[in-house]
Amino acid sequence: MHFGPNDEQRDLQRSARAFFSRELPSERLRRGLDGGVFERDLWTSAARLGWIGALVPERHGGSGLVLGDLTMVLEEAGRAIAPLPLLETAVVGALAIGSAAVPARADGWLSALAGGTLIVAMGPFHLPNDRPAMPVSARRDGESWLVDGSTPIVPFGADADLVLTFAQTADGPTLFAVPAESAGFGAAPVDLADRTARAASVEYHDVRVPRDHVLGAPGAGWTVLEPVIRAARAALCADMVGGAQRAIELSVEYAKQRVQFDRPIGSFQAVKHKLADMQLALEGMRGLAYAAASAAGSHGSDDPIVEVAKAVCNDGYRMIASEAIQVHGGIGFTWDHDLHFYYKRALRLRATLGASSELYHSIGTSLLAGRGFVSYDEPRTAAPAT
Amino acid sequence: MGPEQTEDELRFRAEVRAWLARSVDDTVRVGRNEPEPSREVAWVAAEREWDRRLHAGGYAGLAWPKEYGGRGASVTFQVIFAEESARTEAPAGLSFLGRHLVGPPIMRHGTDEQKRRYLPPMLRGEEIWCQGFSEPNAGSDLAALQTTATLDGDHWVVQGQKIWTSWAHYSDWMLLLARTDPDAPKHKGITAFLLDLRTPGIQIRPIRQLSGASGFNQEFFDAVRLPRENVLGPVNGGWDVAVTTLGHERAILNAGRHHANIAHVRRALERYGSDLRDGSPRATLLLERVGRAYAASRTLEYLQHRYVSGWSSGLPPGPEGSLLRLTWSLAYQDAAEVALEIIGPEAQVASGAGAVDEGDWLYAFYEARSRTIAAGTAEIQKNVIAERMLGLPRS
Repeated sequence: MHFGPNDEQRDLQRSARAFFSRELPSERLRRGLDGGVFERDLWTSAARLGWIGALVPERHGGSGLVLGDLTMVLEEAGRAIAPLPLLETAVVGALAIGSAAVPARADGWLSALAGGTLIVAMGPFHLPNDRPAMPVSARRDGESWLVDGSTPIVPFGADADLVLTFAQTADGPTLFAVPAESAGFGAAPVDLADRTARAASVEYHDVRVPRDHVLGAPGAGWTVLEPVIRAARAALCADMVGGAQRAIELSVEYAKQRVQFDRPIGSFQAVKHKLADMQLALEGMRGLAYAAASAAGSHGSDDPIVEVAKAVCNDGYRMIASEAIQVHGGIGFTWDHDLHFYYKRALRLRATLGASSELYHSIGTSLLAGRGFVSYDEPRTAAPAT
Repeated sequence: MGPEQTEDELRFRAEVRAWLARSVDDTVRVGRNEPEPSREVAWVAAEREWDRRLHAGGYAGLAWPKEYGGRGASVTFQVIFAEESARTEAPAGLSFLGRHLVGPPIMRHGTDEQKRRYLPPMLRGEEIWCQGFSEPNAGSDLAALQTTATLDGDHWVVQGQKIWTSWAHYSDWMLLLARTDPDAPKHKGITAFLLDLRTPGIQIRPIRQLSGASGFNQEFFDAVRLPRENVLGPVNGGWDVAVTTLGHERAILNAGRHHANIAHVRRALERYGSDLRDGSPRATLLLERVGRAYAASRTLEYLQHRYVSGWSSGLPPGPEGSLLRLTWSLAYQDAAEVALEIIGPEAQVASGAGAVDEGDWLYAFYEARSRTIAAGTAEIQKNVIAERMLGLPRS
């Protein structure tokens, strides 16, 4: 029985770790904190390594890899707190465009995306359970659409060349690819807690969008997004695992060297058991993240494993990032220590594409309806290699 | 990324599944791990019957090397069997502790004569074994044990007491740890013995547990005379024997237990969950909890897949056993508690006409407390994780 990254995937992970530790030292990360610029060089290098176009087929200039491969890079990006729209562009952009753009558009967009010259931002995608109505709407106007509305938090919204926008239309929820250069499109910086996400509030004032910028059929937005969101959730899990792992490493290191009462604080059970709880959470997160990466690539399953993984990773990363600060004491609460990057990234990622309470409730509701037990009725068969 | 199974593994799983479907019937399915007094006779009979079926089916010695009558199956195959057994909620068998916890140290540390004498009847379920480790003053700190064995001619004379000994009252033999050198450092003065429980001077008292059942016991040894050759391993080398029994077996034994947790929650929802469709605050909050309990068991599932995948490619099992055990314990507690919440206040009725399913749900809720105590408390497991996985200094 094999479960977990294969040898090639482990190699990819090693390369990504080396890349981020070389290219993104803490000082560089910090330069971006106070109104820095988009890390274009870093992005271009990642594109050259084939990572931005990992999920883009080779015929469109991509690497033709599977999600499980890309999650190796994403885990390292999470570990390094990479200030890059990998989720938005390399996962959501590549998959939504790849699966639903009209052929005439797909090639141009995908090859630019894989080459690092097309940055894609997304959403927010309002999920069916979300209370507020969709804040963006669109109506037909001749051969094109007029998109109108505003979304308050769009990571990398001011850096993007193309924003994937989920809008309500007379046909139903529809997914649009809106070029940032369009007249009536505006993006203003928003000071999100996690500054590495370079968030913007995005406004659409009757932005004219050509018909061939609709991804999937009008009204079929959910059909397009559902598998993309599954993949995006799996990708978020990988990022959270990487960050949680690093927060634990920093804490263990500190607990071994920090001496109080003539002993390393890591020898006190109050500290030691906290670290064991963190490790317990991380190990659980990691297995689920692998399972989610594997499952998100396959369709038509009642198994809520991706939702389970996202919810457990949300909670685990929150706990680990918080307790890491606790283990460090005062120094952990400073701007100069790196721990707040993890604390704030955990805050953002758990709010992205499914908070735990919603996910658990939705899982519980499925179970009540008798769904979600599928995998227990039949033995697992060999899954496709992902 | 998987999980991916080989053709052989899939074939074996199908074989096991078919055998379990034939073999687990109402004769052996009695529902609870350990019986309370009113069910005890039926329970023991069912467990013994399961021992017979396991042996006849060729699965009793699945993990044992071929030279000792086993099948020499790899870790993966053992896990598949454990998973499928958990999925069908098959019994363990009274020989369970012997086969999994006593057999391996005898194979590893025993003389040829001991192996010939003890292993075959253990495998057939004809001689039931228990593990005499814990004492009133040696629980988490097992090496502090005080029961003594003193050499007197051709015999060792055992004096002292043991406690929390699972199934001692059903057992014929005990793997006993006793102190043989009071002057040596505490780990170095302990010897392992193979003790016939019919020897004069042994008193076994079942302990009534929180649940009302008696799964474990206290034993008193008063000048118990044990033949000199019944030492297992070297004299004063008992700690190594104890460590063998606490090795990776424990991790494999827990394999597949997410199935049982999820089945528990599923049954509660199917039988008593209909009023959770009303959108009330209770339903909303409780369904979230159901989701959490289910997620805890799915977490266990993939944690196990990941570790087993590592072991089957030859990595030595380490402190992962502690991490698995703790994850399972917590997931079990979650499942047991959420089931009671689903049923509602009537779940508190323990017996009589008002008892929901004869108190089975309540029983699981009782059992839940033992999960973070038995086989090493949660606190000890956390020490192991912190010291051996994270490299933190000893307390």
